[in-house]
Amino acid sequence: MTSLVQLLFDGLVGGAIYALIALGITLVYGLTKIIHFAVGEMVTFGAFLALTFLGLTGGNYVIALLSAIVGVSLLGLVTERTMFRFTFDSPLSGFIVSLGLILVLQGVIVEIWTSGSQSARPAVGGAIDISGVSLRYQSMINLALAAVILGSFYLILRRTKFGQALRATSDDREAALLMGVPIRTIAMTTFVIASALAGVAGWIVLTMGTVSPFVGTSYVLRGFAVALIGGLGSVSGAVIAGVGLGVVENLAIGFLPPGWTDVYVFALVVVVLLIRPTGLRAGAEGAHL
Amino acid sequence: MKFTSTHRMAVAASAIIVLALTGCTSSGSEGASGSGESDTGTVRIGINESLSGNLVAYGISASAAIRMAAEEINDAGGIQVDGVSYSIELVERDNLSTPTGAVAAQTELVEDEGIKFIFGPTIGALSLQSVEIGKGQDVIQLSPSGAWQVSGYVSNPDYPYVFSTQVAQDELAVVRVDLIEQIGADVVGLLGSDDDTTAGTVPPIQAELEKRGIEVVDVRFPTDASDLSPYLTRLKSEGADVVFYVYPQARGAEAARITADLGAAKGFVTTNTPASVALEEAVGGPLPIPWASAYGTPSFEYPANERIEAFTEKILAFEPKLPLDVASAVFWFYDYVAMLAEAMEQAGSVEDVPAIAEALQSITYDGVAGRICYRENERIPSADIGSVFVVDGEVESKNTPSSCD
Repeated sequence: MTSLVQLLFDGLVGGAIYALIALGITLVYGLTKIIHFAVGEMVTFGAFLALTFLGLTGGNYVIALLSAIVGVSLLGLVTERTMFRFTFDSPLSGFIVSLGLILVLQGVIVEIWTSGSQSARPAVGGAIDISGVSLRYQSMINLALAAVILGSFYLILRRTKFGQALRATSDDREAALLMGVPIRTIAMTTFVIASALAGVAGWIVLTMGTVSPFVGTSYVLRGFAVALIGGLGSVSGAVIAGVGLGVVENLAIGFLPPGWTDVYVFALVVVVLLIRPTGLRAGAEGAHL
Repeated sequence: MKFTSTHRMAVAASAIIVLALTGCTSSGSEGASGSGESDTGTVRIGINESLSGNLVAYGISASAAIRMAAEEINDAGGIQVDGVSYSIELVERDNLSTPTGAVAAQTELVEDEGIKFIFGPTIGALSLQSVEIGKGQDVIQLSPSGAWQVSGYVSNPDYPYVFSTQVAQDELAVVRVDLIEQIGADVVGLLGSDDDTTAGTVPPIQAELEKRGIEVVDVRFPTDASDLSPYLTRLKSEGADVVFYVYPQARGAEAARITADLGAAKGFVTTNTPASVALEEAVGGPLPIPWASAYGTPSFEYPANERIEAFTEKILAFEPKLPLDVASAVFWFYDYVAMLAEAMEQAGSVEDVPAIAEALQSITYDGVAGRICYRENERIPSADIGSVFVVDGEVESKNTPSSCD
């Protein structure tokens, strides 16, 4: 029983990271129909940026987090202004640009930082033991951080003018434009937000222990799976599917042959998409923000 | 300018002269030129390593060690055979950190370049297929691949020129299981990524544990696993007393910390890394449970001796960006370049592969990594094994000497 609870808790934490990444992917897709695979490398970039600021500030994790958010947001802004904006009317080209960007960013990270892995310790080490279940302090911080960000974003999307504009653009770009919504600015902002979310995810990944220039790839694959299961373009779907996938993945590791984890995860994606081709939270015409 | 037939003939003649001169002065893999005391030649040595991709850290470590060794040999006058000084010319190929890339690089080196001496690939997962390219050909291939040892390539007479540069896995297993027994365990949880490197490392340890009546739980995680917590929870639920973490070394500190945080086991043992300072740094202090590590190469930290310290300084000056978490891989190559050169000198040839292989098999070499020699009838080296046992930050280090005379 303690193992089950332990696996559920760790699954929630892992799922929260997937949800953050999936939210970025789904936002960009919802607005531009571009599948932004380079989000994974942005996670890596954020992790290494945070690591650098940890060193510069003598271990200040708050500054490290802020640096990851600001730095990766800037990266998102630059890539949108110099690359993705030109693919606004051609999502397939945007997808190919994002694939190229993966290689570029990996190369940049290797040149700036390292080709190897880097270890980092958690901001708060140790764990609290509750009836045999070890709740690691850092895991609780990470879960809380992700929950606050996801919750805030949900509120922004539902309760603010910006959120309204975002949803309107996602629903019908031309109608939104006719209603005076600055859709280009909205798209640019969306790239920046997706990047900021990747920056947060990068910081969380760093606090989990090990980062390498290639760590983003594994996260983005799961993030993309989550976005698909949730329904590409659906924010609530990304959150539900992210947490769900994290929990299912952990339970599978706990009770089934663990070497097959990737098979379970992606088989689940296939099954869900066979039953609901547009994802859990999408209607027949696909999801909307 | 208009080209006349005279121009064309002049250009063609010049090209022929240049080609002819090139043929005279440069050499293929074993070319020699000149006469008397100034006789010189070139030996071409191939490197099949991960110079890009996700295993690049291992590749650049290996490449740096080989390049530095070759440079030192060349600076010291090269390889002396029958009055000819042969300098080493390295030909590097990037295997892109993939098995198919490793095969392509090996094919290029063997078939296209005609190279007879190849180092790499370091990682077991890449080494297995590449070895087939040289089968039946006079090509000496050297790699630390643990998978070669477990798969039997380095004992199989059908592959007489395949040489391991990593200490015998069964000798390592004895030291590693000694450390596990020192902590005390009825059940050992083996944890490693699900790839050929782990597959090549686990069997000798498993056999040694079972020989001593210790139960084994074997849990593998996918190479791209994001979090090791659930795997360690699994080991805990299976009753593991000690976690033996196999590979990749770069995640050793993470695995150690989670083991301690989750109370997954009462002790932690790893393969080559991390060194205690790196681990303390990663954990934020001494690991609150006993931990130990045994490795087939010296680490940069233990056993601390002047030879290792001098080498560390030298290799970091040579390659400042060396990733120190996996850089102990340099010890799997540096000495072996010198050993290969010595074998050529002993064989009196830089092209007679069977004679060079025989000489390599018989050499006992005092290198940076200690005393190295190959076992009889196997191309597996015996070398010093270093180990550390750490309790509450107190480090006890030990060197188990090689079985070389």
